[in-house]
Amino acid sequence: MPNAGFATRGILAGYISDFEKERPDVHVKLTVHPWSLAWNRVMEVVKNQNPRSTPDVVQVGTTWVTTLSYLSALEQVPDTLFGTREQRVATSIGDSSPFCIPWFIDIRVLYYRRDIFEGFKLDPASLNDWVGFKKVCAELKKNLAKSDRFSRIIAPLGIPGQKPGVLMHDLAPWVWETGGDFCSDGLLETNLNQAPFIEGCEFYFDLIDQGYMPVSNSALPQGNFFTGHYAMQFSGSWPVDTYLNPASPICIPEVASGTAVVPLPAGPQGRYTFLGGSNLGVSSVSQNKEAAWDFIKFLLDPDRLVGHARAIGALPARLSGMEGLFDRIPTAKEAFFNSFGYARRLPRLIELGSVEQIVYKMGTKILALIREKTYSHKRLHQEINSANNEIKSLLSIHRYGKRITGEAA
Amino acid sequence: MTALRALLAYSELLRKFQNHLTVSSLGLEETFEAGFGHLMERLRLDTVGLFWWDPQRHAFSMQYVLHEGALMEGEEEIIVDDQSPLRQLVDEHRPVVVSDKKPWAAFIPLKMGSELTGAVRLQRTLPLSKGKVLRELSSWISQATPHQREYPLLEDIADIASMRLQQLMRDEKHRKRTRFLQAGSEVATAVFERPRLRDMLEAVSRSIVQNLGFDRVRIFLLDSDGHRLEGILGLQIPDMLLDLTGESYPLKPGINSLVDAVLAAGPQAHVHLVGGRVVYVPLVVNAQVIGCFAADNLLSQQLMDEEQMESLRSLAGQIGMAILNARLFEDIEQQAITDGLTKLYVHRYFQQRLKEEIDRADRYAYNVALIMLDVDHFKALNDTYGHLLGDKVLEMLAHSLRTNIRRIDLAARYGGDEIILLLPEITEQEAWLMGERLLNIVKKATVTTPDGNPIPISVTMGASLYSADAHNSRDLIDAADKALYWAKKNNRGGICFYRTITPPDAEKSA
Repeated sequence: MPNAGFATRGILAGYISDFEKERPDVHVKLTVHPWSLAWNRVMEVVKNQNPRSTPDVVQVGTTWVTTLSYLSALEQVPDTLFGTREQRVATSIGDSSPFCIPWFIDIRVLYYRRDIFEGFKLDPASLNDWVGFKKVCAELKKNLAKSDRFSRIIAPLGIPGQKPGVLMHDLAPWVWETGGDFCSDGLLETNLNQAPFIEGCEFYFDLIDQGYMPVSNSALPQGNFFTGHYAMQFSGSWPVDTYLNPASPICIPEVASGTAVVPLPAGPQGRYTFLGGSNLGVSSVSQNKEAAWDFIKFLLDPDRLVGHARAIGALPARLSGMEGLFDRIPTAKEAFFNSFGYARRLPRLIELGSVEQIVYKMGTKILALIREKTYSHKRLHQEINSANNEIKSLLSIHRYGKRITGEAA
Repeated sequence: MTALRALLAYSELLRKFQNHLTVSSLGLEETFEAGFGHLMERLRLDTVGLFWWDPQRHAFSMQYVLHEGALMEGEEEIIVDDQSPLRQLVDEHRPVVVSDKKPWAAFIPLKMGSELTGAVRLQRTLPLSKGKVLRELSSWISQATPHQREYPLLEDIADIASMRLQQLMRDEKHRKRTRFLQAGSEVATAVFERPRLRDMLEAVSRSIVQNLGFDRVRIFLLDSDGHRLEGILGLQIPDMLLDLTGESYPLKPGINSLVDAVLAAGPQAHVHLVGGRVVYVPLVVNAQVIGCFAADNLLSQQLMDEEQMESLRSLAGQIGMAILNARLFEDIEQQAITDGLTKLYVHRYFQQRLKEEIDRADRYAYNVALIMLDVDHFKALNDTYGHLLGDKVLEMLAHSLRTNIRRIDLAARYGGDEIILLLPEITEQEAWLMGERLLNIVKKATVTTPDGNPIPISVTMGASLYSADAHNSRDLIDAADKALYWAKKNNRGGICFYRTITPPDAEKSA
């Protein structure tokens, strides 16, 4: 299971212990992989490259479901235990495919420091669209440079994620908001080299290049918005119950008490945010399928599902689990609930897992250009073009040939 | 006494560490967990992290972290610059204690021969002086004199862990080598056990995907003229067979990477690696390119390694030879069942297929029709213009029939100028329509005499239908033969069904 490392382990260890009491014939061993390595681990199972790894229950990122179902890596969800697919869709939020069940979801919003905005007389309403947002970034950069009041702050905006990199879902809202997307409507062609996609990328990478959202390196102190190093940050729901909890040893008091949340700024073609998350499924290599589904059923108990989501800072994948969330930060509640209306999933491509890797590689190269101070729109377009060609080759190869054996998802 | 106790504790710790590392015959993950888990317990460590060294990036990347009794994969990265306290470890391959204070942290190097491969970080919140065992060992851990190794215990731990790591790497290399050999052996077996091209290529593709670890393999062969690259089949993880027939590319530069790889192929097998995840291997036999296979990891995004490339290179020659053998086998097989002059199937093969079709017709309750035909006045043609022209007529007729029947039909030379058509899954009406259509096609065709005069050709047809006219293959042929005899007498140049002929005429042919 990927995500949140020791937090995942902590909460699940308790659930596992309870499950083993109920089912003394079953022993559950938990293996946690970091998100960045989880895809490789799953592919090793699909390709039988690690004979010792035969997982029963797997946590599957929503973006991987289509690929893994196509590769017959997941068992079909038994209706007898979980109700029909229609019933499951009606009671949950997330990607209820025939092969897995929503476990938790993730929506991106913008966190900002009220004290800094008030200190520099900035209007949070400016964060409503791209133009205002960029103006705020520029104002913050200018004011922070000449003010000692917020000396801990490094830059206006913290880059999302723990490692310096750009994931597909970091980029997605910006390209959606210009009317672009990663591929055509029929999922047959890559759209990376189309003008709207490029426009969205330019906006995002310019934020980094102009120093509004610097890429961390050894010269920058390790930290993020919640450790008081930035005035704003895009993130999911996880900080609300973790970092922004007054009991957190990491979060500084000004951040814990002075944080507000708004939806992502709207672009020229509307407002969007990324809807992701993870599902639970049973691996087709499992030797214990029945017990595996029983364990999933046990985890999906409403209290456990909500408990787990809150422990790792995610949103539970069921409508009824939202009560009581964000009570401490009223703006967060409003921002998250409003963002549901703008939330969008990544395209359901069979090759999405691979496309994600290609986009990540593209982002890494562009970040390197920025670090080396050789970034320009021309170089950006070259990198986008190169990724576009790689995805094009991937999509065309995949469409070759008529499947003779194997069940289609 | 204290020194002796410390020495005993020292040797006991190392002995048990070594035992825990080697007791596990499993992989790296389990070995690390067992060995360093024991060390954690004995040295009261909080966290142990395993890092791999990347000399290009000058960075250590964490693979595993042991904490609170649990092993997890880690994401941490440590860049080693000139100011880094790890500089000494990287340059001299010796342990460093990066913090003597609370928390205490040390790095020990992992080596393969003289090469640095990684490091293990040991972390402890408590000062070293706390804890019974540690008080005895702390002097060994933090000892630093000009004449002795700085951290003897850490040096010894590093040596033991490095030795075990080398062994694990060797085992992994051996496992990989075994899989590659397995692929070679399976390809060789496929050559002997699967003489037909598609069967053989399916087995070869499966072996490459399963043993060499690719996501997908696709095989393309040059057509008989050598002008186009034709798709044959592909195989994709986990075990999906793909039909690539219909994919065809002209051999012109710039069409795609596959074609470019074929055009660039020299007399030796060469591997073209594109973006680390797609590889094209031209199939070269006797200095002739016969096709190309493409392997890719575009679904998993795993990078291909040099060993995979080498294996593909060595398999390419074997696969090329196997393709030639399979083609030869299929040619010989084809020759055995086809008539040399007309290229129609021979009588024996027709009989075998007729029996099979009758069995299928019984099982699935459909009809099988036979149309027997011969050339009108064929003897007179031979007598007048010679046998060479007679052969020409039969060639022309066979070609017209072969190219105008359905894919599931079969045309065979029954004997002399008699040809028989086997038409499965057909109604009497459809068979009649097909016969009429073929009669018209033949009527429009002409054969030219040596002096340049065109001669019109016509044929007469007799047809029978299973199971309306007969209950076995012998009777069905007999019925078609009787219908043909009747038609030649009463409806020359036309078609007649057995059901419509009058009994006296039918009896005459018996």
